[in-house]
Amino acid sequence: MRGMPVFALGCALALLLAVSAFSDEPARAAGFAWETDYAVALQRAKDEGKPIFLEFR
Amino acid sequence: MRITDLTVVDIGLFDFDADVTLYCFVLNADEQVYLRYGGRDDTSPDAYLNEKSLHAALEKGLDLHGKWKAGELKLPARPAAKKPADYPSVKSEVIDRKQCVHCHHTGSGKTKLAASKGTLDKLKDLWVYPDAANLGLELDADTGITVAKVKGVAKEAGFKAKDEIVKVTGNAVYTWGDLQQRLHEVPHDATSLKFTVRRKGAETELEVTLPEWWRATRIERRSFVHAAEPFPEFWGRELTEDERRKYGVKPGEFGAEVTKFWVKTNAQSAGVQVGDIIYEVDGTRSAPYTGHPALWVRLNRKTGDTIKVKVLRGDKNLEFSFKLRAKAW
Repeated sequence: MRGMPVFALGCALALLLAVSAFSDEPARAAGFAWETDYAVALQRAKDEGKPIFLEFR
Repeated sequence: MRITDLTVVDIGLFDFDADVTLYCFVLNADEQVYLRYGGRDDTSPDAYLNEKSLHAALEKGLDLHGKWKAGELKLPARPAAKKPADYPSVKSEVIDRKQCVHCHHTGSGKTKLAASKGTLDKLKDLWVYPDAANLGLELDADTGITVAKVKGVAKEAGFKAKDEIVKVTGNAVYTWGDLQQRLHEVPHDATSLKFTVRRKGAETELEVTLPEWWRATRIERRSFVHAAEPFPEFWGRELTEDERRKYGVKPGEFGAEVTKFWVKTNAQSAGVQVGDIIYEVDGTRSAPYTGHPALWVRLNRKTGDTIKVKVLRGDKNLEFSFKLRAKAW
């Protein structure tokens, strides 16, 4: 993924529990924090009625 | 949600190409997968990964989630659960050593398990995650499922530019990752494949006749191929087209330059040197699925076999014989 442009996904998408941003410096991209606990992500998705964007890297 | 360690992941549910840098799923809280985003072809790790294709996938994921919440979306049953520890080599070599399980570990673990059981068919099982390009479909990278150009068996089947692939064998496809997964799941004995495409607003069914080696990709880049025995006793780089012309190696025929001996091997002991161009193995100079003689050896020979290679060294044609071991070290 090196060299891919940094970009932020609009909040309007309202999709992500934690937003994926293609970047060499993911911590700074888009200002979102990654959820890394799968069980927590599932519970949040259930509570908030949102889907999950799950990235394996 | 980001996962960088597969140790406790259900790889039965999240079953994906083990040799990628990134792979994503959109799913709901009931762990029902809507779509995939990721995968790669032979040209590049990110040939189909870009901002537009990601946005398209995310928007589709939202749309599918809305339909699911409205009870309008039927999703397939959850696959049987599987954990990386189910592969003995992953457990002993990675998990028991308290290391993170990476995607490629699961791929190698699968190969090693099948090999240990004697069920590995190297000329069948190692050809995974095929490329639609082998069917003559050049796809738009921004959508992953829209036909940009068409040739070969896809053209014969009636595919046209701008067709949008919406199903493969009746299963929905929303992204390039979905499409590659569907191709991966095609049974090995299948001789044709049904696609549903959207053309000018209407859906059309097309049936593609599958060529014999339609699954063939450059699997020598895959870590699990290197888990297959035997070790060819040399490391080599396949010649470029320019180098083939330079050395008089025809397109499609074997041609690899020996690059380095990381450890002493039987090929080196027999006289093979760095820089040699290997162009023949046991009288074979080509195969329909690879131009790399090392891969051919790995797929067609077994540990303990003695092979004979022919090499070009400068203006000399030389011949060497050596015995194959299971592993380099």
